Amino acid sequence: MAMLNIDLDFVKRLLYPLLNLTKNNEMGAFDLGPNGDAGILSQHDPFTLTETDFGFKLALKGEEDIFSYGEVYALERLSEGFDSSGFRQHLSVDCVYSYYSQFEDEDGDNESRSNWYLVIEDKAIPNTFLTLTLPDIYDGGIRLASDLEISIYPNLTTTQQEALLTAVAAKAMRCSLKSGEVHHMHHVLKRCTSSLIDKPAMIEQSRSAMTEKLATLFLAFKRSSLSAPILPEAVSSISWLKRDQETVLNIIRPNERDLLITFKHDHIDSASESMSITSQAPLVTIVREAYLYSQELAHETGQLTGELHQKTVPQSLQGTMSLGR
Amino acid sequence: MLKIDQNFVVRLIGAIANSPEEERDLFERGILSDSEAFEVGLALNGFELILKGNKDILTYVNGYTLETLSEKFADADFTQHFNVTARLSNDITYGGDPEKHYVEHSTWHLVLEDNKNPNTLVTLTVDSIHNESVRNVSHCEILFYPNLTHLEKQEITTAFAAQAFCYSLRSKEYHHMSHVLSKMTSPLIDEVAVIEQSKESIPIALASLFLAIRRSPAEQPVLPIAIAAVNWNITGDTTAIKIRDHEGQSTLAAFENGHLVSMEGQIDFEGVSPEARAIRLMYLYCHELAHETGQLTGEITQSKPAMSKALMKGVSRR
Repeated sequence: MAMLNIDLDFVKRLLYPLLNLTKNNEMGAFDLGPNGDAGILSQHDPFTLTETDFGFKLALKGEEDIFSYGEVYALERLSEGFDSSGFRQHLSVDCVYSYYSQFEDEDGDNESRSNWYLVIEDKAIPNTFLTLTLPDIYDGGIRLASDLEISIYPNLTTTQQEALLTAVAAKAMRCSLKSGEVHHMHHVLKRCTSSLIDKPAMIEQSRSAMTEKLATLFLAFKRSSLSAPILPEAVSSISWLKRDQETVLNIIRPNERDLLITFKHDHIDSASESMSITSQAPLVTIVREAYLYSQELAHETGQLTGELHQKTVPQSLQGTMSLGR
Repeated sequence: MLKIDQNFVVRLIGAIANSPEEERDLFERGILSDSEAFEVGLALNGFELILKGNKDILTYVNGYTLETLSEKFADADFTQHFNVTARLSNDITYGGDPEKHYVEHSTWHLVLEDNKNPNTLVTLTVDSIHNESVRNVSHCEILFYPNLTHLEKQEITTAFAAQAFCYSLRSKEYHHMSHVLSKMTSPLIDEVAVIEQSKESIPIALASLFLAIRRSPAEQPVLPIAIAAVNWNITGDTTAIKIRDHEGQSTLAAFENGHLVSMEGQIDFEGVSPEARAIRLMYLYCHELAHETGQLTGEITQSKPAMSKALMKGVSRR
């Protein structure tokens, strides 16, 4: 069994993806800076390792920026780099925590600030997990190796791996809750695809950061009754099948090809024809409604499959009066 | 009998344009056109009032200015049932300007009952309101629904509230959605039906979030060490949460219609203090409990030092 060995090579291996390097092309990247000062890593004592209750904390030293800011989700795209560096990525998420106009740049433009959370497993030493956090990332900000918060957890059981991943995912969720913007929270949820993340537990651990406004909204939705949506004229029927994290919707339309949409982890994974899920077109709104209904039904009754049919509802029987001209 | 005449128009528009009962003023200012200032047409289930005038009727101070007109409507002999500015924040690109500008667009939704014609509801909608927009009377979509039963009044007000809520859903910012909910205080509005009628507009991102929250169990929260006990009481639309520390000091937070209306002490409710966290957690828990079990009152005490729920505690070094 391989032993955990945290040395300079290990540290470099960890930094390669951020620097867009590999072992074969590092070419002086870790040398002294242009003025003879410390570079990406200090020449003297580039890292220190401290023992903790759970494993180790790894602190790096360096005085040069460790990555160039491209856009807010740039760090999430480093999966392949970590893979090439000998790590298996379990979670990588950039969480925007700033809300509108909280931070402004020199031109007075709104500035987005985020934290990056990463959980990787060392392929050379299975069951050894690393968590990396890089806080306060923004365009123009300088992030040094010393800003990386790195913890190492050796010899984890599967339950411990799940607990660790879930706790880091919850931390990311709490971070995004601060933004007040649904799409930032949704982004975090979307990144939680690892089977090691227990989503209900993650939400449970995030509740303390949930604002009263979000709680009010959620409670209002929860109090609403579960009723099957009424199909628009353009749709003859919708059937669905839910399996674990995947739900397939089949939409049958008169005189048109069937539309098949697959959701994975509550997000559209594939569709037999292109569509914008944010549109207000009747077809899109019924897809959203049917998906929501299928998931609520599964939650309330355990029913995993079903079908909705077109039926004519007389005006007099509709639950609401029509407004408008 | 419903009588839509100039006097009625002046009462309504005067309250909005801040010229109550000053008929001459409205015409002199060009808010209402001198000739054929209004016409009445048929609409589904009621009538439509079409107004003519060229001058801006809205004084834009901030996004919620129009919500403060309740007293003006009362003075003009209307009962206000619903008044909300539903906001949709948008980045807008103007004509030749390649740069995007952040503009807070909103739509104003108003439901009034005419005290002089009881059981007649008036709904008014003005869209595309922002600090650079000019909105004149012809931009007001005004509908009348005369001789309504109580049930019909409920249905119309609820459907109208649902329209406003759908609009705020498009903003994707939950504080805008929550704001619309907070204005649904009239007993004529069935909040459950509003949500039901709005589901088709729920963005998939919000649906994912709610499904995730819904799938997580409503577990009794673990109190932070600094808190000795929390008890709560739900009465109608009011919820009172009292937290007590180990010195016996208490903090009382009161919520109405799901929104904090008062809090003793200097607690930043959105902050990270143990008290703020405990109140947020308890608020959600007690309402989920009420929904699931019907239990409206309860108490949680600190029976032993709180264990961190962070599952990191389960990760110990071998």
